Amino acid sequence: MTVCFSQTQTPNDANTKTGSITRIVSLAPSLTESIYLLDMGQYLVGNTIYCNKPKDAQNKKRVASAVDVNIEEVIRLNPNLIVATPLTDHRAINKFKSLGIDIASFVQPYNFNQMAAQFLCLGQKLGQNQLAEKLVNRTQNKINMLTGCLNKVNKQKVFVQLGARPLYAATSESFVNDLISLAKGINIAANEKNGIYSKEKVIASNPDVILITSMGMTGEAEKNRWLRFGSLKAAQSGRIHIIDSELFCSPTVVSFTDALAQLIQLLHPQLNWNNMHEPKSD
Amino acid sequence: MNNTLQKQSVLTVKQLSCRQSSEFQLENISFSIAKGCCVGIIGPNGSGKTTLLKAITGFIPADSGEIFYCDHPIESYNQQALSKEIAIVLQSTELDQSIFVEDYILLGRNPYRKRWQFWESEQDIRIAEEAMKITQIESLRYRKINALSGGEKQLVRIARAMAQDPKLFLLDEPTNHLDIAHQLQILSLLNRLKQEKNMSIMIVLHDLNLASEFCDVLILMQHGKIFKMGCAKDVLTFQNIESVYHTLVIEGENPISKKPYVFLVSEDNLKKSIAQSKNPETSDIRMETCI
Amino acid sequence: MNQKAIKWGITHGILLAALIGVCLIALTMGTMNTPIDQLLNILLNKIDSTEYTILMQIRLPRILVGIAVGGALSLAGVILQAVFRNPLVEPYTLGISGGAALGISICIVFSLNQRYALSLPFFGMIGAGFVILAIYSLNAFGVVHNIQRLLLIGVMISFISNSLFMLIISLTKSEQMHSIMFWTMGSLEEPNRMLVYCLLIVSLLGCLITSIFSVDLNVLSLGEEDAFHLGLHVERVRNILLILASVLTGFCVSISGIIGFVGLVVPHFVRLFAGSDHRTVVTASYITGAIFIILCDLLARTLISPLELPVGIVTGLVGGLIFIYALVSK
Repeated sequence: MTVCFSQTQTPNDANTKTGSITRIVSLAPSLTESIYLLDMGQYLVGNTIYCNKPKDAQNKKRVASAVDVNIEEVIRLNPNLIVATPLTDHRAINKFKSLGIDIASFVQPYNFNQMAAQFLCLGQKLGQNQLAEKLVNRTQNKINMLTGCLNKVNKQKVFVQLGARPLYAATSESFVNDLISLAKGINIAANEKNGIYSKEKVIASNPDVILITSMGMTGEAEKNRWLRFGSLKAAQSGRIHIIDSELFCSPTVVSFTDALAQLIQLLHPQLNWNNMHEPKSD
Repeated sequence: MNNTLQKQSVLTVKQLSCRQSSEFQLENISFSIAKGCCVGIIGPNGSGKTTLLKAITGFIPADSGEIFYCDHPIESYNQQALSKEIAIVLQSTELDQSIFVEDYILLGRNPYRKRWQFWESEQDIRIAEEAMKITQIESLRYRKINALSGGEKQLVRIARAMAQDPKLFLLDEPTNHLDIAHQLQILSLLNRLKQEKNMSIMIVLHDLNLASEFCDVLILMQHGKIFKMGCAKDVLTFQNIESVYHTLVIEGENPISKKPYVFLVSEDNLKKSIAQSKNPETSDIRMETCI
Repeated sequence: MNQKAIKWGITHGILLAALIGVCLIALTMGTMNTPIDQLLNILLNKIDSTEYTILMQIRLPRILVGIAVGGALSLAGVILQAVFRNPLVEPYTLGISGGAALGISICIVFSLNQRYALSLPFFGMIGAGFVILAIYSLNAFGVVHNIQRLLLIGVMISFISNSLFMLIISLTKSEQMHSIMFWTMGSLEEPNRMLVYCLLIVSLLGCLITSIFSVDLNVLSLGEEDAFHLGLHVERVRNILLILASVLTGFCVSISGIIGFVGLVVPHFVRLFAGSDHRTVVTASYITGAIFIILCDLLARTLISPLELPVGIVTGLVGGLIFIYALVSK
């Protein structure tokens, strides 16, 4: 298993017994979601102001913004585990370490494999190995089933727009990219680093489909703008779609397959699936 | 105090007062200048000489009193019209831009520019040429003004004011920081203007003797008021100068022009000479002039 | 005067030719380069092709915005440098861009730009206008002839707007921060055609009006006292020109973000080669500003193709280096 987090304590803690983690502070929304998926939501005592899913997370004490941590509040909550990301304030992390609080940092995953590995790590940390494995395997099976239907389809060229003014594209460092390759699509921006993408390049590459992550009203406006380019294949066929940014950019282990299913429908409409084509659950 | 017939007056000032916060910079100034007259304004620092000039042009607004230009109230002239009549040469004019002398002088033609006029007219060029000729700076025309010497800059300032083709010429200490050659050159130039063009001149001077030599009328100012106004003989007296400048002088006369001349005396020398005059062995009373 | 007029004609002829040349280059270069001889062919015959779309719908609007913004910012620089008699003054030292940035950041923070696409430029102009009004009314209570105070007030307001701007940034979510940060570095991308035409019209009008005031600018740069005594209505001319400079800046900033250095470097450069007479400097700076920005934008979109740099970064670096070189070698 790949190493997916760094921690402060001695290796003994690698095998945490169930029940010994009773007070968790989460410093990232994605980690909060995972904690709930691992059925440990009731032990969550503090999270960030952006941790709004699931709904219960909103009732927890807010102790941090995206990068700023209220160290005092966290200490007052007396957690026995803090989960964080590399984005979290280093000074806060060091402070917690020096106070002897168990802190685990999880790097942002960009594809399903990374996400799964991390999920398993987190599961182990929380003493929920079995549940974690079960969820990961279930999702993996779903993925295999979904992609299994794609043997005869043609690969579709896709452009995914993440931001407008400036124009941001989904590059290799994004979940969308992973979803696209699973769904037998070609992301035209896959090989670029992050940065302002050139509109010219999009038109020159002439993708079959353009996906725009939901940005409120701007999303619609952007779609209309792309439609005006007469030479774009995607504009002529009307294959410009708005996708839910939360679902596609920060999916969970469980919602990943929802995203994949939606994407497959968008890229290969000829398959004629109904919404939420689901295999029988195990 | 009128000097000549009201009919020929170019500038009449009646009870002009200017205030800044609670202090009077000018208080109750009244005088009249005839056409073609050269008036010298003298007085200690801070007596309001420069303020008077700026009040006449309207740059410093008057709090009370009236100014008449050629018998018309000065308010009846808009700014542009007034700058065709009155030109002023100030000490504070910095010549620090990178402009050619001839372009700088052409800017003096601005009062005559029509709204849609983009380039200078033939007349503008002709008058600017004349201004350069009369100030004898034609050789400087392609130099940049920020590269000139003090004396040359002063001549350029005057030339620009000349280009305005004024009838009344105001000058604020034009001989400051100039060597004696340049001082005389400028004052003779002004004299020529007065005689050839019948131009009226008001000039602020520090040097009492220059004022006496070149001006028809002197105005002696103190604390924003006119202390004494009249011809040099009446103004440059021992008592007047002692009251205003608190300095001792000896009245004399320029041997060539016979105009009044004041000799400055230091207190030490005065005491020495008084002591010597009590001593019958010395015959001459020595005096030192210090400028 | 005949000789001066001839020189004026030649200078502007050369500059216009250079501008057309630069526009052609910018039109043909990008992520894919179109050879010039094919240009006409594409424009007339291949209307549905990819090349046509890229030329007419992406590159041409950018060039138009470049002309409008480069010209307008240079004009604003010329005006401010004449009025304040200080060659280091430009729209940004007066805090006008700071005000515009503040307005826009408020708009983004309240997510208004997601509801109304045009609200961003609108808030930018309001912010810029607010600063202008503040400076104007503060000055109205001061002494007529005191310009140094105006400049100080401008610098002060600039500092305050910047601090407020930083405050707002620190309170926003990270996604919005991206948008704001890149907006502060400038972009000639403007998808709304109407806005592009509006901007172009305002910019060209600005050029016309300023050149009408060229001789007044010459007189004004002698100093307010001298200008007064040469018959100029100093306050009126100064206020009209300052408002014009502010409108130009506000418009540009609200559409293309903050592009710095143009108003400082371009007039300076033009004066080095064409003298200080505003009859030449005003229009020459407009054209030179357009050339400068189009070239910088070309660099910005080709240096790390297919990724783009914000154009403000390029103008800052290129402009700064050219400026230092010119100062050192003079």
